[in-house]
Amino acid sequence: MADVLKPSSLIKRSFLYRIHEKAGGVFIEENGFAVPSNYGQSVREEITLAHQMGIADLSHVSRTGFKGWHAASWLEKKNCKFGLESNFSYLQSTGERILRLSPNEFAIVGKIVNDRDFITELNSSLHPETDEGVFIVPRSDTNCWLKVMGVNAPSMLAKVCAVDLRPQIFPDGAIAQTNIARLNCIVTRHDVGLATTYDILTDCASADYFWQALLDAMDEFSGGPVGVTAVYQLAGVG
Amino acid sequence: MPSRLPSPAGRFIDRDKQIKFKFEGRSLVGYQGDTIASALLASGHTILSRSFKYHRPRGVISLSSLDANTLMQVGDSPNRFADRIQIQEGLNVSGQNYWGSLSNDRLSFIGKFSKFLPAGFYYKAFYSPRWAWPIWANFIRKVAGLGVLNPNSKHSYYDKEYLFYDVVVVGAGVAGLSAALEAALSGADVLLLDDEQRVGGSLNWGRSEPDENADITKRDELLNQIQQNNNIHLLSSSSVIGWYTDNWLAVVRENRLIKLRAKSIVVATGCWEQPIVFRNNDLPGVMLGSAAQKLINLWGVRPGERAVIATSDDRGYGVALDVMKAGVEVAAVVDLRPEFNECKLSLEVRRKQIPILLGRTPWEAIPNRQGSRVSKLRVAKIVAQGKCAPEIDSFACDLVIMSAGWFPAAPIVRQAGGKIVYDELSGHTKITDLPENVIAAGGIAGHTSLEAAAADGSYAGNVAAKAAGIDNKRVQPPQIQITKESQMHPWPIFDHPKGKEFVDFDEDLQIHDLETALEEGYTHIEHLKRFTTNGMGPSQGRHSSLSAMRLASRYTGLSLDGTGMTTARPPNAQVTLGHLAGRIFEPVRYTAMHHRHLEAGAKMMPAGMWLRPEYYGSDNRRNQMIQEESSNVRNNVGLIDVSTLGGLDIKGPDAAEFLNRMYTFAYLKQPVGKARYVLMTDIAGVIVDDGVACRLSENHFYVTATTGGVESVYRQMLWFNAQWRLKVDITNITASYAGVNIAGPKSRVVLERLCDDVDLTPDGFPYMGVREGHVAGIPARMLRVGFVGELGYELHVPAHLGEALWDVIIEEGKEEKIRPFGVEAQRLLRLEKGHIIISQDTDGLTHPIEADMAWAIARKKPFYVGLKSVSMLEKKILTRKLVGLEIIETEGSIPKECHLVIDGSEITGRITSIGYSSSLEKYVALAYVSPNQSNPGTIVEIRVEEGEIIQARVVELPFYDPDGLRQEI
Repeated sequence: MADVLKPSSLIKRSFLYRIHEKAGGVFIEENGFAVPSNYGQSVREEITLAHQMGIADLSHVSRTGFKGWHAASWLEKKNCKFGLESNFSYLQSTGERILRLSPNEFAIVGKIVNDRDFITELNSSLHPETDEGVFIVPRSDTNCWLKVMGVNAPSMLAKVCAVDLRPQIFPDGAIAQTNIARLNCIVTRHDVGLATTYDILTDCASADYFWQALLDAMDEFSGGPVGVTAVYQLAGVG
Repeated sequence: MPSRLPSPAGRFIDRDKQIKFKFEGRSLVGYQGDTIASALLASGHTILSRSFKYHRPRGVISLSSLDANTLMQVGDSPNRFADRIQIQEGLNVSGQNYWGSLSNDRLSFIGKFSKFLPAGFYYKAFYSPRWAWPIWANFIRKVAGLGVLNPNSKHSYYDKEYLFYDVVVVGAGVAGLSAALEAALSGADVLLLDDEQRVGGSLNWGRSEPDENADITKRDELLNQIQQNNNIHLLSSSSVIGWYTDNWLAVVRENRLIKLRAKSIVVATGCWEQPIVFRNNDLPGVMLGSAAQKLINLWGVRPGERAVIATSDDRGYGVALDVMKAGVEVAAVVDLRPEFNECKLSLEVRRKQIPILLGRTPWEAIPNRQGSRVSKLRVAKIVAQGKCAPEIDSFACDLVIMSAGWFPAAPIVRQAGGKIVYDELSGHTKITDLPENVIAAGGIAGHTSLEAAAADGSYAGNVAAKAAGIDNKRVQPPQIQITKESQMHPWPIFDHPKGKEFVDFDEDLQIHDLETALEEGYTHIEHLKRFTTNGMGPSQGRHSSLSAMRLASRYTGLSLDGTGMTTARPPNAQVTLGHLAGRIFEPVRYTAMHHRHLEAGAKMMPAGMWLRPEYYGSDNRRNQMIQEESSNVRNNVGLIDVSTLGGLDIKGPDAAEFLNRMYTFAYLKQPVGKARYVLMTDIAGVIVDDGVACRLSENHFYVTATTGGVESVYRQMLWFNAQWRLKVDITNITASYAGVNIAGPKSRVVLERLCDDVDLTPDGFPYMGVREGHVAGIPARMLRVGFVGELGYELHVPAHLGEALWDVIIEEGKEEKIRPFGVEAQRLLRLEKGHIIISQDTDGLTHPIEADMAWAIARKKPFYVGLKSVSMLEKKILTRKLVGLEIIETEGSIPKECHLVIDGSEITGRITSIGYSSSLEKYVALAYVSPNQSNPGTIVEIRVEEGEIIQARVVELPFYDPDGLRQEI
């Protein structure tokens, strides 16, 4: 029998690892983190759950941010593709997404698997002393990343967020910088497979509170946590 | 006596499912679908409540959750509408506001003194003599109390929901259903709301045709179309409690408050049936026609055995047909109109040979011997407005059904700016002055027949879709047909020499109450309302405002429109505080090491949104643990979680200049690799924050701020730089970094085991030095600072590595007896060093001079935020100064923070921080004193609890290690 991976055996630890443990998470290592592969259910069951109302912790996936008066031109030089419209997420040919939060601020979220290189290279290619007007924002540690999925996700979010996030109003790629359950959040519509999906970046220090608040809100939809294996399969990468 | 009708009567009940519940301690049985009120009437209970003031017996009036007559105590919940709440197995229901029993209320004697208790009497009584008021207050609360609150009842779960629609239709009667359909067919996203459990409005229970199934068939047809249309979302049991600016609606549905935004709104809330005002019109057994029809058609309850039906329009004839169908003998139909109006319904009644009395009105209802129900109705001929001839006809009956017409149910349209205009000649109302995206439809807009209401609803749906931005084809508006069947009676109010003609059932207001108020000069409708309390009960004037307007109009000579209506304020329906509070979200922030603190037995305390360890150990050993933790820092090595400290990255070519402007000290020449204290003042020169600025590179400062102050500091920085336009970027990275302070004489030893890429020697990494390196392989920003006055290192690492850092330091420090210390130990340690804590040792007026922090002001620089104010304050005579105190007397009481420093009869200051120093073996404190008390050696007096005076001596700061040798080794 293979050794059971304990999150505390790794130095990188998600703010939510204890919650995942309590929920019966079975962990695998991703990007140096122990990540819940599943919560004791079969992948098929968790995919079914995700199609209805699921939540997944993707805080282990790399992300970064850049801002400043020259941030846009600097990113373009790095072959990043994005439009002029703010509050929209632009999919890169390599699979990452560039979230344009304002004309001069960007968050970049990695692919949910094998994402390190792009983000790491981008971060290390910034030379503060010579790249004037471009400043890094440590999104990996500032924000946790939760993925809220399923046909009931808009209704669940309507209980905790005052912005209209219904799919017909909030299209794939749309971003809302808003407040959910009294926490500042960046919400991006980013469907995974056929599941209506919202990526939420919020204060990592409040991840515990936020996770519980969303679980409470999704209770009437019989929602629950979904492991990354189900998410990978939904995204067609697992 | 009311009773249950045989099957199949009752569209809402399921006779296969019996439900047991308790009323006044007695077990009763109803059917699933019964409301409490319908089940009680079916069981023969006619008295549902006692009136507010006179404790008169009251039964069903409207059966629409609109009046106080059906308010009951349901479990722990008082004042619930018994005509809205469905019975459930085991439900415990009781009446309210009586002494004795509901059927025999000892307080009903109050009614005999009604002559002495006119409206507003309480404004003129009770206040004198003053000593009597507590007695009166106690009595009034007992006799006028409603339900009983249980302070120990379990808190229910409430939440909120935000919804958005193109078109919201309020009211799902024939007009609302038609409007929703039309709007949806135009392509609009439609929400259809109704406060009843089943949609359909009066189609569920009314009769517009002799064919008793015509209305329900129409309802089923419309509902079928609604259900097949995917553009329509239907929410029943949903009450709109208020309209607010920009079509924002507050909706209560079960335990949820829905915050609803609509591009356009169709208000199809129909009308409220109006009572006739005559003597004893409040007796159980006297009810509105709609109430009788609901009892019969919805719940299969026969409301009485012999009835008189008094009406001012054709609908009363439909009621007559329904009660006959239910087996009630109709003694007569009393039509207030002078002439017979031929319509299908009235002709059918005439065909059934029911006596029809024209131009007559109920004059007096006579109670039975017990006073519990009507037993006879006296009917008089109307000879003039409100006047009757002396000839009286009497009818034995246990049911009097009354209707004086219908008045628009218009709180929502009135909140949206609409006005109800009344045409006194036609007896017709219409709505005017509404904004384009709020449309009144159906009965509320004056379309009282089913056909007209349906046509108007369709038109409104079309207009609403257009107003929502949908490009549809505009249809023509239907014309309002002024017919006698839709008229309101101009004066259904009949004064009786013996009174008891109730205008407002909730408040026990009779005609003479309003007339007295008018005589006293309260002629404005708003004044009349407040003086009499007319319309201030649960019905909110739905059955009384029109009568009050008429009485005021008669007195002033103004028209009804000229008299006006009182303001329609939200909430329009019953709403609990739980609904308004909703699901309470209280975000909390945990540091990366939070769970390690819990595992170590920490007592956590709030620090802003964060939780921090106050100390480690049990409550009863608090002081001991704090002393042990601080001693361990002084003698060995301690570890404290400082992740909550604010962290700000200030980057860019103007970073140093920016700091130079934001803080009092000088930063332009601060060397890279060094930290410097920062003190922030606001434009008034008041100290607002402090921390350290670490220069990581020429253009990059890492600035710490206080836990509670960082958000404000960040906002201030952004605000000021929006004006200065310096080339600088400001990022709040508080959550990005976990931080620990490893402090104590053995801290270097521990750190040396974990760090191999930074020279930790005193010369290699001196006091106030800043380095970037690795600790146990974890990248760290390292600061040599001395807040607690010992050799120490603050280590700031990426948050996701914080717990691992904590683990490895605790493990590697075991040999040096490392132990974590909490905020209280840190406060004590820094007190020994005389370091201030912003907002504990400062207040909203403290400036740097009186805090003895002039050393932190750079004198040669031209500007910093607050410079001008601080310069002015320096020129003023100092009124207080922060000093160190050592407590001389320690045998008695020990001063606490905020205890006053006094000088004779003057208060000269207060203690801001105090604690027992094990290192110094005495109590030490920081305190504000007057300048003439601030010289070292001065003895000051501190007034503690019970007025005891404790002496203390002013001493030089710091108390501990004055030369700073320990922190700089």
